[in-house]
Amino acid sequence: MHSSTSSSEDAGIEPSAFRLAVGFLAVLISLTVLGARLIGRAYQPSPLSVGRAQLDKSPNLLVMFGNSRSKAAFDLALLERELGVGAVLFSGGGWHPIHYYQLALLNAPLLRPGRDCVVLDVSLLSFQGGSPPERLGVIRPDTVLSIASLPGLPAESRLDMLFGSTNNVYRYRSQIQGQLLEPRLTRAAEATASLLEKFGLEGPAPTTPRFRFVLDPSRDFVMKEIQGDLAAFQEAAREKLKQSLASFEVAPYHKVAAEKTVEELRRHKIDVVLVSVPLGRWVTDRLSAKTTWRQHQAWLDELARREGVKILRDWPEELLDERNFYDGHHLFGHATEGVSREFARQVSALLPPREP
Amino acid sequence: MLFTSFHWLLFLLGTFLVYHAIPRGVRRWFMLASSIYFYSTWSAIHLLLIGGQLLVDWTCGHFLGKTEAASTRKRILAASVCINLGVLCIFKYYELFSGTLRGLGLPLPEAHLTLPLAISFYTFESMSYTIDVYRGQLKPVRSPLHLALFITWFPHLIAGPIIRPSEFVPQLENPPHVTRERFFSGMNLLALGYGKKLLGADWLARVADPCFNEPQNYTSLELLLAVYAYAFQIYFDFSAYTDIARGASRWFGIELPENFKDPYLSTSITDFWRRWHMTLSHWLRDYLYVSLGGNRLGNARTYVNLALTMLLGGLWHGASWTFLVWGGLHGAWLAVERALGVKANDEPKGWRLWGRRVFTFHLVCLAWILFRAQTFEKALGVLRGLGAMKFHLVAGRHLPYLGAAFILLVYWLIAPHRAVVEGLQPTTTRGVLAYALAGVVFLLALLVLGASTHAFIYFQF
Repeated sequence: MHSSTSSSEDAGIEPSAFRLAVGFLAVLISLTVLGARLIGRAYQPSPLSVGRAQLDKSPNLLVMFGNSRSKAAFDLALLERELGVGAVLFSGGGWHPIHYYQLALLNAPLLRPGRDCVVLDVSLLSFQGGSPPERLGVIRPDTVLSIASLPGLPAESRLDMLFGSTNNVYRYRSQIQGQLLEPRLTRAAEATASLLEKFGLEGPAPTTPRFRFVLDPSRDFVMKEIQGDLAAFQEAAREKLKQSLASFEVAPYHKVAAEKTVEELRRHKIDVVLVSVPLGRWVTDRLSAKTTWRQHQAWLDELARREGVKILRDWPEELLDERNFYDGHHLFGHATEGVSREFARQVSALLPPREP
Repeated sequence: MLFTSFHWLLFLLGTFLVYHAIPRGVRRWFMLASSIYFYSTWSAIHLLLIGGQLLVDWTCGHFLGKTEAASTRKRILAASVCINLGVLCIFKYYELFSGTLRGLGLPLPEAHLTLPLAISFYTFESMSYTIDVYRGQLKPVRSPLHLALFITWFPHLIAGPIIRPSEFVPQLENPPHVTRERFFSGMNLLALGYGKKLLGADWLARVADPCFNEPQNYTSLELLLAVYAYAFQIYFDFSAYTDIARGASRWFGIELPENFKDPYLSTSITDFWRRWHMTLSHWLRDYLYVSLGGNRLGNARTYVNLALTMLLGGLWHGASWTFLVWGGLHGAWLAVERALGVKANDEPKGWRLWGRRVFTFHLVCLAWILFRAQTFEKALGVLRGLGAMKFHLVAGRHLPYLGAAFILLVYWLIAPHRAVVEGLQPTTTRGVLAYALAGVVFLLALLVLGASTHAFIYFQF
């Protein structure tokens, strides 16, 4: 690429800097990526695959791929006691089948056929489309090509993942900001409180919050209770859900990702159980009235038949009571035990033979 | 594709590389194809609408050039204006007016039309072509390609600046190649734009958004700081888009006009509208205010024309009554200043200068409350909160405000040297390496600190 296309009119005028521009841009982008890679090495992300220690500790592992609903629903310690296996949950807020596919690619080669089992969240809510898939920044370099080539993904999502795979700084920028920078900056900002008070510039908020979240101290991001006006919170949560459910549609790339997840695990002869995490009765009634619900159940049946896996989706009515859910689809901490016991009861017969 | 997306960056780089590699004779066609692709990533079907309006105006311009009869020329112009404004009104304003009338009991049907992206911008540009030809200020463009490029030129298509055919079309005749100066000044503009957007506007949004969404939960001081934050958020956001549009265009040898000139240093509302969104205010002045009679029909009529121009200018921003009232406020202030003899080029000195600047800034901020709040209820909530006179911060909520103060401090330090930054150009090898290193540091800062998922504010218009 050079300026031989310049016409004779350019003679005597400042020469083209096209070559300089191309070279400069190439150097700039390369150095930026290299710099980001070097700096990013300082950040250690959470593991997304089972470790040697976990495999050595337990002759049988129950590995769960899920999101915040799974996190709220399943008590791993209880499952370990009830089932006599080691239990591991890989989950993230807002995770969906694209994340599960990454987990399958990372874990399938490590898990042991005939001994370990993967439980995969297939709740319809996890397949929601309508906008570009979120939280794809955690896609790791060793899985990015498989995931970026999923059919139907928006171009920007693919590019975002591909660039993220080149360096930790971009890939984990939300975590870097939220876990490293923000706490430090917040502490520094709050240190000005005494100075502000001296000048009368510190005082109470004009309104008390209508409700306050109290997290379960033993389980991150699981709600123990909501203090204050619970009815107001639930009304606001339902209003949001109503809008979301009104335009609910399944994203085709989520279905493809889920199929590939199961295929990858089955290719390595790992047992798989598909589970629809329980939702509150209000949400279930509205979702099940939709055509997408029936289509989703039929698709699950076909996937299970094709891959030789089981589905757990029937829950006792008392577990779907609205009082167990704080926002209609996330369980309170006090309801986890009931759901976990029922899950253990149902899944026990489906697990590979447990070694003593 | 958003300007802050990888898709756009890849598209810009790819287009730049191909444009300068292909023969000159096909470059304009290539840019048209690129612009069509760019718009199609938003909405392919609405390309038909742009194409239709282009065809109407090219045809009108063509026949205006062929006829001298005044009545025929008037009819041709009227056809162009009616069709363009008709399309704009149907897609943008039908739901607003029909919804209001339905609320009053009139049984009008709902339309549920998708608003074509950038319709406000390209409709105004398309009309300006026909009007300029009608007025004899421009000869009809011979090549439909040039007119199509004028409208669809992708760096400016979505949110301006609103350009005139007389400014743009001649540049297409023989666009220069990329020189060292154009490349680096274009790069500097891109850097200014991305810095203002990702390190400025999007962080200021985190101060403004919660306060405007739930004003009852915030003290008067917090609301005041949120209003200031929004004033700078919208300025950084919009001027960033213009910088990126100008920087990208410069890489292709095209100069786009500036759109902002330190608007918050204005000494009056009259002065403000010569510094803020200058291409829109010039358009409104030249095509609406002058057509209404301008200041040629006496004082009373001048005030009416000012108010009407700004009312419609407000409505241009969005199909909402709050935008109309926002524009009306500015129109009223312009009329009052005209009556008081205030001039845009007044040069007060000393404390009067800063007094007028502070006063004007707060008038503008007052109007921004309506612009941002989106409903009168929310705007009243903010005003009520401001009036509650609770001037303190709340423990646990200091960081956003201190962060905003830091951003504004950095801007205050850099702004006076903007021309220097824009003109930075390494001339030696060592200089190029130093420039590259600075660029790397800047890009790393964007990667770490820029967490934007905010589209540009003016994309909604």
